[in-house]
Amino acid sequence: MIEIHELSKTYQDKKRGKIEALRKVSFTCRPGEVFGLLGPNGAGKTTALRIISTALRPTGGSGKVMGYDLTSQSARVRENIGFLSSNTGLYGRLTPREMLTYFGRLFRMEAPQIRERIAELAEIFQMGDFLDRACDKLSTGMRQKVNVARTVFHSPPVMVFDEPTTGLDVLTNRTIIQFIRQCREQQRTVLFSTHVMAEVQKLCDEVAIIHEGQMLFRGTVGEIQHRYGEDLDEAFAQMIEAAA
Amino acid sequence: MLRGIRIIFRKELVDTLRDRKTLIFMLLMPTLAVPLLMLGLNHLIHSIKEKQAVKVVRIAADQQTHQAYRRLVHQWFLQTKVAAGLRLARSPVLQALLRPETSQALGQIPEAIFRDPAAYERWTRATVSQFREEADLEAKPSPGPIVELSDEVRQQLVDYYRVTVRGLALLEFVDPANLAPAPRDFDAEVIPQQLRALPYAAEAAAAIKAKLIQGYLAIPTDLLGLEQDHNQTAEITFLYDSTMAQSAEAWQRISFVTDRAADNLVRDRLALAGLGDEFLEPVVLKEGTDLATESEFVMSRVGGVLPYIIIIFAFLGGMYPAIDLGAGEKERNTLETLILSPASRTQIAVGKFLVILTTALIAALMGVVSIAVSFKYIIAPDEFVSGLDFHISPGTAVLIALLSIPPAAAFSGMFLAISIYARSFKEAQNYIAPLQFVVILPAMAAIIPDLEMNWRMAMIPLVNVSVLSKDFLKGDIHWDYYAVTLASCLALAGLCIAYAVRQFQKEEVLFRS
Repeated sequence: MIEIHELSKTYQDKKRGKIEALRKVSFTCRPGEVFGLLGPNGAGKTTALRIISTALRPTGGSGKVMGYDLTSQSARVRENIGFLSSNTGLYGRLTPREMLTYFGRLFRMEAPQIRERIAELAEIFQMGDFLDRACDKLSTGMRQKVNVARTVFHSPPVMVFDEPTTGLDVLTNRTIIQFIRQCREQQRTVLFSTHVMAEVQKLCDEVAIIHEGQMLFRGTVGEIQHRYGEDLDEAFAQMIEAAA
Repeated sequence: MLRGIRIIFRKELVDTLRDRKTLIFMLLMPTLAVPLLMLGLNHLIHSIKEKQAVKVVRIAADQQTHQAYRRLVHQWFLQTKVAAGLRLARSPVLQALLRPETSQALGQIPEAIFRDPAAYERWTRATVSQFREEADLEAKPSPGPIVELSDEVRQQLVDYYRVTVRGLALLEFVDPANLAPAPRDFDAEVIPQQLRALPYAAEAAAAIKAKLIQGYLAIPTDLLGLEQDHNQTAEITFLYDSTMAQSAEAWQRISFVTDRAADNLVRDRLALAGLGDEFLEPVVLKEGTDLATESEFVMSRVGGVLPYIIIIFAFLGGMYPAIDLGAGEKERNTLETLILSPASRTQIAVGKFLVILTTALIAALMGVVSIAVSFKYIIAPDEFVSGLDFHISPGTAVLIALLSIPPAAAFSGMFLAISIYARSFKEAQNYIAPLQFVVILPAMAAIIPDLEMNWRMAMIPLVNVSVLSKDFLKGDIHWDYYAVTLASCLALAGLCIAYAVRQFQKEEVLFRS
């Protein structure tokens, strides 16, 4: 469960002065639901996700993840979240097994539990072949699988994906989409940002469209189509243009 | 808290040790470079010295000069204790010094030779080939234990070799009248004013410059009666070029011979006047009154170099891992994942700090080992520290390890802070590189001779390490100063870690790229 209430983020930029990256954004994602955060580049999607994952602190508003406050209980929030972005890197000199073990330990898992979980995830993501190969030697698809495995390693109830499919090939893309569906089936809360409308259509139970830090729309995909027509890309463009 | 630090430390250490580039460039290369450089340099110096020592040097000298010069050598030979020294050649002591064939040759010299200059010279020439193999007695004592050989005997043999072999047998005389006239464009200005009147000066100078000969010797008298006439001074002129290696060698040979001959002549004159050697030495400062052993003396000198090595190696050893662990993690986009784990920023910073500290310490210790090995096996067998007992006892090794901790800690803290602040690997490198110059100065503090440890000095990070190590190596172990030194360096490291933790909490630092 993610509950966001009037979340704002402003920061000072040396060249551009005060920047309002997020202006009073509110939404709620429930377990068993996939919530899509849509918006063009620079809309504030990543900022919102980073605040929810506690990497950034909000300058206004509040938020809770699984009932834990984003600012005062950030450590508990982190334990309950799995965060993945498209450009998350791996430790090139470690093998996937070592890397997963490392994060398992950081999440206070015990050795036998870690071993079991690695076996389980290797099965799910078909990582058996490259589990003991240095991450540097893996293909992009393999890397993303390792990344996803790392994200869910501690079985967090909340998953946050920041444009998880950017730059991936069709097959890996499919794996990720399937994985997000699985998360929904497992009654996890899934929040993900994207600007690919096809993914929105395939996955999202509810969407929020943000532009220049402001929320333009919140509702189901059906509601968008009802109001702006069948073509989601067109609907998206119309909303942005109307706001400008 | 500790568990988190341990997990991070373990992972980062494995990650760092798998980085071959870091290992090779930061640890292995400097460690091997020191002995290799020393070995190369040593070899070069020796081979040049050896070659020069056995090379025939051509000197222009007219008939009279030639005769006078020989007389100098022969006089020296007959009147010094060298002849007696050579008789010692039959003793087992000398046999240990000289190679068997040489000592045999020396042992077989008929006594008559010492009284017949011409026979002596023939013999000298005949033994040159053997001496060529010996090359240089000073530089290369022959194998085998050199036990009871007294300094006096050793000195006599060196004198003998330098005067008779290098100063006579390996000398070829050329008549200056046979030298080609100086070329028209030859600048006679190069000849010193007072020598221009010397016959054939221009021809000889041109020939020296053209490397046809190595010097021009002129002795205007036959030197006969020099030992009887107290009021006579014979002027010997030798023209050479100090910038040419062979010509400089010629100068050394000639001056060695004339110096030794002059010493003998002085003794003759004193004897004639009924005076002893004491006449020239009214006051003698006794040798051997220094309480410091030779080893202590060298350690006090080397002591200045050692902290420098520790500091530089700790710097190099910590630098790359630090950059990799901070800025490198940002560059590879792995930092965000790490800070989203339950590990606190302090745990992350301390874990990383400890890895940098470990590599810096390993590097410093490897540096010390490499220096010690170089000294013991490469330089020590050479003449200038021969007899030095360069031995690092387990106690000293522990002391050196203890001394490496403060600078390694200080650097590790500094590097971590810089590395986390920097946007990229390259930026971190740019920040750390100039730091090297800042570090070199305090590292060299120990080379300043009169710098003594005191409480105020003990509080200045790095300078204290430098000064303290010098004392430690001399055997002056002040644990109180060590405690302050360690505390001051750890305080610096602590400040830097605190700064690094703060950087870790700053959004603009974490996400700037």
